[in-house]
Amino acid sequence: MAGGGGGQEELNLVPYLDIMVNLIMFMIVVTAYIVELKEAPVLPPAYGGGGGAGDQQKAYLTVAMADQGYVIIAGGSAEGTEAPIPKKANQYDTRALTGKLKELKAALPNLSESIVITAGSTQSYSEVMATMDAVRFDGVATKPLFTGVTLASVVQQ
Amino acid sequence: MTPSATYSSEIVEGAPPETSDDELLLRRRKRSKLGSAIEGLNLTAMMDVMTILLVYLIKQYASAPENIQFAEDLKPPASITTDTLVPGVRVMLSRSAILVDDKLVLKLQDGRPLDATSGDVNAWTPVGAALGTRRETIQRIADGGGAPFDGSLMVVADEDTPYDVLYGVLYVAGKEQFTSFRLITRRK
Repeated sequence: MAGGGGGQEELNLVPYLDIMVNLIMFMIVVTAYIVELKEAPVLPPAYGGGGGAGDQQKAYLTVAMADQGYVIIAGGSAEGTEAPIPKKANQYDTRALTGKLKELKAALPNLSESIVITAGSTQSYSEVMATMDAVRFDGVATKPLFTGVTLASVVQQ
Repeated sequence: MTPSATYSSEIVEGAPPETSDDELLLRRRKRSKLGSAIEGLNLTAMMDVMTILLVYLIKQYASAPENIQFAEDLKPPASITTDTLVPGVRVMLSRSAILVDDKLVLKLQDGRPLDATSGDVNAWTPVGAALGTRRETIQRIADGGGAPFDGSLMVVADEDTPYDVLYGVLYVAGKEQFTSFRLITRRK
Protein backbone atom coordinates (compact mmCIF):
# COMPACT_ATOMS: atom_id res chain seq x y z
CA MET A 1 0.00 0.00 0.00
CA ALA A 2 1.66 3.16 -1.13
CA GLY A 3 1.67 6.07 1.35
CA GLY A 4 -0.73 4.25 3.64
CA GLY A 5 1.00 5.35 6.81
CA GLY A 6 1.64 1.84 8.02
CA GLY A 7 3.31 2.99 11.28
CA GLN A 8 1.07 2.81 14.38
CA GLU A 9 0.65 6.23 15.91
CA GLU A 10 0.09 6.44 19.67
CA LEU A 11 -3.44 7.35 20.78
CA ASN A 12 -3.62 10.79 22.42
CA LEU A 13 -4.97 10.09 25.91
CA VAL A 14 -4.74 13.63 27.27
CA PRO A 15 -8.36 14.68 26.39
CA TYR A 16 -9.70 11.44 27.89
CA LEU A 17 -7.68 12.11 31.02
CA ASP A 18 -9.14 15.61 31.26
CA ILE A 19 -12.68 14.23 31.06
CA MET A 20 -11.90 11.60 33.69
CA VAL A 21 -10.46 14.14 36.12
CA ASN A 22 -13.47 16.42 35.71
CA LEU A 23 -15.92 13.55 36.20
CA ILE A 24 -14.11 12.35 39.33
CA MET A 25 -14.07 15.84 40.82
CA PHE A 26 -17.80 16.19 40.11
CA MET A 27 -18.57 12.82 41.73
CA ILE A 28 -16.50 13.62 44.82
CA VAL A 29 -18.26 16.99 45.28
CA VAL A 30 -21.72 15.44 44.82
CA THR A 31 -20.93 12.60 47.26
CA ALA A 32 -19.64 15.08 49.86
CA TYR A 33 -22.93 17.00 49.66
CA ILE A 34 -25.06 13.87 50.02
CA VAL A 35 -23.21 12.68 53.14
CA GLU A 36 -24.73 15.62 55.05
CA LEU A 37 -28.04 13.72 55.39
CA LYS A 38 -28.70 11.97 58.71
CA GLU A 39 -31.58 10.06 60.25
CA ALA A 40 -33.57 10.21 63.48
CA PRO A 41 -35.04 6.88 64.60
CA VAL A 42 -38.66 6.79 65.78
CA LEU A 43 -40.46 3.96 67.53
CA PRO A 44 -43.71 2.91 65.84
CA PRO A 45 -46.92 4.45 67.16
CA ALA A 46 -48.12 2.53 70.22
CA TYR A 47 -51.53 1.02 69.60
CA GLY A 48 -53.70 1.39 72.70
CA GLY A 49 -51.32 3.76 74.54
CA GLY A 50 -48.03 3.16 76.28
CA GLY A 51 -44.53 4.47 76.01
CA GLY A 52 -43.14 2.19 73.34
CA ALA A 53 -42.10 -1.42 73.00
CA GLY A 54 -40.90 -3.26 76.13
CA ASP A 55 -41.36 -0.35 78.52
CA GLN A 56 -44.80 -1.03 79.94
CA GLN A 57 -43.59 -1.40 83.56
CA LYS A 58 -41.90 1.99 83.69
CA ALA A 59 -43.31 5.47 84.03
CA TYR A 60 -43.17 7.46 80.84
CA LEU A 61 -43.44 11.08 79.84
CA THR A 62 -45.55 12.59 77.10
CA VAL A 63 -44.65 15.93 75.51
CA ALA A 64 -47.68 17.51 73.90
CA MET A 65 -47.09 20.34 71.43
CA ALA A 66 -50.02 22.64 72.01
CA ASP A 67 -50.60 25.93 70.20
CA GLN A 68 -49.51 27.85 73.33
CA GLY A 69 -46.40 25.77 74.04
CA TYR A 70 -45.24 22.45 75.48
CA VAL A 71 -47.28 20.47 77.98
CA ILE A 72 -45.46 17.62 79.77
CA ILE A 73 -47.58 14.82 81.13
CA ALA A 74 -45.91 12.36 83.50
CA GLY A 75 -47.35 8.87 83.68
CA GLY A 76 -49.91 9.49 80.95
CA SER A 77 -52.57 10.91 83.27
CA ALA A 78 -53.92 14.40 83.89
CA GLU A 79 -52.68 14.35 87.52
CA GLY A 80 -49.10 14.17 86.35
CA THR A 81 -49.32 17.24 84.13
CA GLU A 82 -46.46 19.66 84.70
CA ALA A 83 -46.67 23.43 84.35
CA PRO A 84 -46.75 24.27 80.62
CA ILE A 85 -43.70 25.72 78.88
CA PRO A 86 -45.01 28.68 76.87
CA LYS A 87 -43.70 29.69 73.46
CA LYS A 88 -41.02 32.39 73.21
CA ALA A 89 -41.44 34.85 70.35
CA ASN A 90 -43.96 32.48 68.78
CA GLN A 91 -41.35 29.68 68.79
CA TYR A 92 -41.31 26.54 70.92
CA ASP A 93 -38.83 26.92 73.79
CA THR A 94 -36.79 23.79 73.17
CA ARG A 95 -34.05 24.78 75.64
CA ALA A 96 -36.57 25.09 78.50
CA LEU A 97 -38.05 21.73 77.48
CA THR A 98 -34.65 20.03 77.71
CA GLY A 99 -34.05 21.62 81.14
CA LYS A 100 -37.43 20.49 82.45
CA LEU A 101 -36.93 16.94 81.14
CA LYS A 102 -33.52 16.75 82.83
CA GLU A 103 -35.15 17.77 86.13
CA LEU A 104 -37.87 15.15 85.74
CA LYS A 105 -35.38 12.45 84.79
CA ALA A 106 -33.41 13.14 87.97
CA ALA A 107 -36.56 13.28 90.13
CA LEU A 108 -38.26 10.15 88.75
CA PRO A 109 -35.91 7.14 88.97
CA ASN A 110 -38.43 4.73 87.44
CA LEU A 111 -38.69 6.74 84.26
CA SER A 112 -38.58 5.02 80.89
CA GLU A 113 -35.83 5.86 78.40
CA SER A 114 -38.58 6.29 75.82
CA ILE A 115 -40.72 9.37 75.54
CA VAL A 116 -43.91 10.12 73.64
CA ILE A 117 -44.33 13.23 71.50
CA THR A 118 -47.68 14.35 70.23
CA ALA A 119 -48.77 17.40 68.28
CA GLY A 120 -51.77 18.92 66.55
CA SER A 121 -52.59 19.29 62.89
CA THR A 122 -51.18 22.84 62.88
CA GLN A 123 -47.66 21.86 63.97
CA SER A 124 -45.13 21.32 61.21
CA TYR A 125 -42.62 18.53 60.80
CA SER A 126 -39.70 20.94 61.43
CA GLU A 127 -41.21 21.91 64.81
CA VAL A 128 -41.65 18.24 65.68
CA MET A 129 -38.03 17.54 64.67
CA ALA A 130 -36.78 20.43 66.85
CA THR A 131 -38.76 18.95 69.75
CA MET A 132 -37.30 15.50 69.03
CA ASP A 133 -33.79 16.99 69.21
CA ALA A 134 -34.62 18.71 72.52
CA VAL A 135 -35.95 15.41 73.90
CA ARG A 136 -33.25 13.10 72.59
CA PHE A 137 -30.18 15.23 73.32
CA ASP A 138 -28.97 17.60 76.02
CA GLY A 139 -27.87 20.35 73.63
CA VAL A 140 -25.44 18.27 71.56
CA ALA A 141 -25.67 14.88 69.90
CA THR A 142 -22.98 13.44 72.19
CA LYS A 143 -25.17 13.93 75.29
CA PRO A 144 -28.23 11.67 75.01
CA LEU A 145 -31.28 12.34 77.19
CA PHE A 146 -34.15 10.06 76.14
CA THR A 147 -33.03 7.42 73.66
CA GLY A 148 -36.42 6.37 72.27
CA VAL A 149 -39.07 8.62 70.76
CA THR A 150 -42.61 7.54 69.89
CA LEU A 151 -44.89 9.76 67.87
CA ALA A 152 -48.44 9.54 69.20
CA SER A 153 -51.75 10.31 67.55
CA VAL A 154 -52.81 13.86 66.75
CA VAL A 155 -54.01 16.07 69.62
CA GLN A 156 -57.36 17.75 69.02
CA GLN A 157 -56.83 21.39 70.02
CA MET B 1 19.38 1.66 31.18
CA THR B 2 19.51 5.29 32.31
CA PRO B 3 20.81 8.01 30.00
CA SER B 4 23.81 8.66 32.21
CA ALA B 5 24.77 4.96 32.10
CA THR B 6 24.52 4.96 28.30
CA TYR B 7 26.70 8.01 28.18
CA SER B 8 29.41 6.54 30.37
CA SER B 9 29.42 3.21 28.48
CA GLU B 10 29.78 5.01 25.16
CA ILE B 11 32.81 6.81 26.45
CA VAL B 12 34.48 3.59 27.52
CA GLU B 13 33.60 1.65 24.36
CA GLY B 14 34.62 4.33 21.90
CA ALA B 15 37.73 5.49 23.81
CA PRO B 16 38.23 8.48 21.50
CA PRO B 17 40.79 11.18 22.12
CA GLU B 18 39.16 13.77 24.38
CA THR B 19 38.97 16.86 22.22
CA SER B 20 36.70 19.82 22.93
CA ASP B 21 34.53 18.98 19.84
CA ASP B 22 33.97 15.44 21.07
CA GLU B 23 33.00 16.66 24.50
CA LEU B 24 30.50 19.02 22.92
CA LEU B 25 29.05 16.21 20.83
CA LEU B 26 28.75 13.95 23.86
CA ARG B 27 27.06 16.67 25.85
CA ARG B 28 24.54 17.21 23.02
CA ARG B 29 23.90 13.48 22.79
CA LYS B 30 23.35 13.31 26.54
CA ARG B 31 20.92 16.22 26.39
CA SER B 32 18.93 14.65 23.54
CA LYS B 33 18.74 11.29 25.42
CA LEU B 34 17.36 12.99 28.58
CA GLY B 35 14.83 14.85 26.45
CA SER B 36 13.50 11.69 24.85
CA ALA B 37 12.76 10.20 28.32
CA ILE B 38 10.31 13.03 29.03
CA GLU B 39 8.71 12.91 25.56
CA GLY B 40 7.45 9.36 25.98
CA LEU B 41 5.33 9.87 29.14
CA ASN B 42 2.96 6.91 29.36
CA LEU B 43 -0.56 8.00 30.33
CA THR B 44 -2.12 4.54 30.11
CA ALA B 45 -1.42 3.72 33.76
CA MET B 46 -2.90 7.01 34.86
CA MET B 47 -5.98 6.33 32.71
CA ASP B 48 -6.36 2.96 34.42
CA VAL B 49 -6.28 4.56 37.87
CA MET B 50 -8.76 7.24 36.85
CA THR B 51 -11.15 4.70 35.31
CA ILE B 52 -11.07 2.52 38.43
CA LEU B 53 -11.73 5.58 40.64
CA LEU B 54 -14.61 6.70 38.43
CA VAL B 55 -16.27 3.26 38.38
CA TYR B 56 -15.89 3.01 42.19
CA LEU B 57 -17.48 6.45 42.73
CA ILE B 58 -20.35 5.74 40.32
CA LYS B 59 -21.08 2.41 42.04
CA GLN B 60 -20.97 4.03 45.47
CA TYR B 61 -23.23 6.88 44.35
CA ALA B 62 -25.77 4.55 42.75
CA SER B 63 -26.06 2.21 45.74
CA ALA B 64 -26.01 4.86 48.49
CA PRO B 65 -29.25 4.94 50.52
CA GLU B 66 -28.98 8.71 50.71
CA ASN B 67 -29.30 9.00 46.94
CA ILE B 68 -32.43 11.12 47.29
CA GLN B 69 -33.65 13.56 44.69
CA PHE B 70 -34.70 16.80 46.33
CA ALA B 71 -37.01 19.40 44.87
CA GLU B 72 -38.29 22.79 45.92
CA ASP B 73 -41.22 21.23 47.74
CA LEU B 74 -39.14 18.52 49.42
CA LYS B 75 -36.62 19.86 51.89
CA PRO B 76 -36.07 17.73 55.02
CA PRO B 77 -35.83 19.52 58.38
CA ALA B 78 -32.49 20.24 60.06
CA SER B 79 -31.43 18.21 63.09
CA ILE B 80 -28.42 17.68 65.34
CA THR B 81 -28.74 13.90 65.09
CA THR B 82 -25.63 12.10 63.85
CA ASP B 83 -27.06 8.67 62.94
CA THR B 84 -25.95 7.52 59.52
CA LEU B 85 -28.45 6.38 56.92
CA VAL B 86 -29.41 2.74 56.58
CA PRO B 87 -31.19 1.56 53.41
CA GLY B 88 -34.84 0.58 53.55
CA VAL B 89 -38.19 1.12 51.86
CA ARG B 90 -38.47 4.83 51.19
CA VAL B 91 -41.56 6.97 51.49
CA MET B 92 -41.30 10.59 50.38
CA LEU B 93 -43.73 13.29 51.45
CA SER B 94 -43.44 16.48 49.46
CA ARG B 95 -45.96 19.31 49.51
CA SER B 96 -47.51 17.99 46.29
CA ALA B 97 -47.28 14.19 46.45
CA ILE B 98 -46.47 11.04 48.40
CA LEU B 99 -44.14 8.54 46.73
CA VAL B 100 -43.25 5.02 47.82
CA ASP B 101 -39.89 3.98 46.39
CA ASP B 102 -40.14 6.76 43.79
CA LYS B 103 -43.64 5.72 42.64
CA LEU B 104 -46.46 8.25 42.96
CA VAL B 105 -49.22 6.91 45.23
CA LEU B 106 -51.10 10.01 46.40
CA LYS B 107 -51.36 13.59 45.22
CA LEU B 108 -51.39 16.37 47.79
CA GLN B 109 -52.20 20.06 47.72
CA ASP B 110 -50.14 22.19 50.11
CA GLY B 111 -49.16 19.03 51.93
CA ARG B 112 -52.70 17.71 52.44
CA PRO B 113 -54.77 15.10 50.54
CA LEU B 114 -56.76 16.52 47.65
CA ASP B 115 -60.14 14.87 48.15
CA ALA B 116 -60.21 14.00 51.86
CA THR B 117 -59.29 15.45 55.21
CA SER B 118 -55.98 14.22 56.62
CA GLY B 119 -57.74 13.17 59.85
CA ASP B 120 -59.66 10.62 57.81
CA VAL B 121 -57.87 7.25 58.03
CA ASN B 122 -59.16 6.31 54.56
CA ALA B 123 -57.13 9.16 53.08
CA TRP B 124 -53.98 7.10 53.57
CA THR B 125 -55.31 3.86 52.08
CA PRO B 126 -53.30 4.22 48.81
CA VAL B 127 -50.11 4.73 50.83
CA GLY B 128 -50.85 1.65 52.95
CA ALA B 129 -51.59 -0.40 49.80
CA ALA B 130 -48.32 0.66 48.16
CA LEU B 131 -46.31 -0.14 51.30
CA GLY B 132 -48.07 -3.51 51.57
CA THR B 133 -47.20 -4.34 47.95
CA ARG B 134 -43.58 -3.34 48.56
CA ARG B 135 -43.41 -5.53 51.69
CA GLU B 136 -44.83 -8.51 49.80
CA THR B 137 -42.27 -8.02 47.03
CA ILE B 138 -39.41 -7.97 49.56
CA GLN B 139 -40.80 -11.06 51.27
CA ARG B 140 -41.03 -12.91 47.92
CA ILE B 141 -37.42 -11.97 47.19
CA ALA B 142 -36.46 -13.17 50.69
CA ASP B 143 -38.17 -16.53 50.00
CA GLY B 144 -35.95 -16.86 46.95
CA GLY B 145 -32.79 -16.32 49.00
CA GLY B 146 -32.69 -12.53 49.19
CA ALA B 147 -32.38 -10.25 52.21
CA PRO B 148 -35.24 -10.67 54.70
CA PHE B 149 -37.85 -7.98 55.31
CA ASP B 150 -36.71 -6.03 58.38
CA GLY B 151 -39.63 -3.61 58.68
CA SER B 152 -37.39 -0.63 58.06
CA LEU B 153 -38.92 2.55 56.60
CA MET B 154 -37.06 5.71 55.56
CA VAL B 155 -39.34 8.74 55.80
CA VAL B 156 -38.20 11.67 53.69
CA ALA B 157 -40.62 14.51 54.35
CA ASP B 158 -40.68 18.22 53.67
CA GLU B 159 -40.07 20.39 56.73
CA ASP B 160 -43.48 22.07 56.35
CA THR B 161 -45.41 18.79 56.31
CA PRO B 162 -48.28 19.00 58.85
CA TYR B 163 -47.92 16.60 61.79
CA ASP B 164 -51.24 14.85 61.09
CA VAL B 165 -50.07 13.97 57.56
CA LEU B 166 -46.76 12.58 58.88
CA TYR B 167 -48.55 10.65 61.59
CA GLY B 168 -51.13 9.30 59.11
CA VAL B 169 -48.37 7.83 56.94
CA LEU B 170 -46.55 6.31 59.95
CA TYR B 171 -49.84 4.86 61.17
CA VAL B 172 -50.62 3.02 57.92
CA ALA B 173 -46.96 1.91 57.67
CA GLY B 174 -47.24 0.41 61.16
CA LYS B 175 -50.33 -1.48 60.06
CA GLU B 176 -48.34 -2.87 57.11
CA GLN B 177 -45.77 -4.40 59.50
CA PHE B 178 -43.16 -1.65 59.23
CA THR B 179 -41.67 -1.41 62.71
CA SER B 180 -38.54 0.70 62.35
CA PHE B 181 -39.13 4.29 61.26
CA ARG B 182 -36.24 6.57 60.43
CA LEU B 183 -36.89 10.21 59.71
CA ILE B 184 -34.37 11.66 57.27
CA THR B 185 -32.94 15.03 58.25
CA ARG B 186 -30.40 17.53 57.06
CA ARG B 187 -27.38 17.96 59.29
CA LYS B 188 -27.63 21.21 61.26
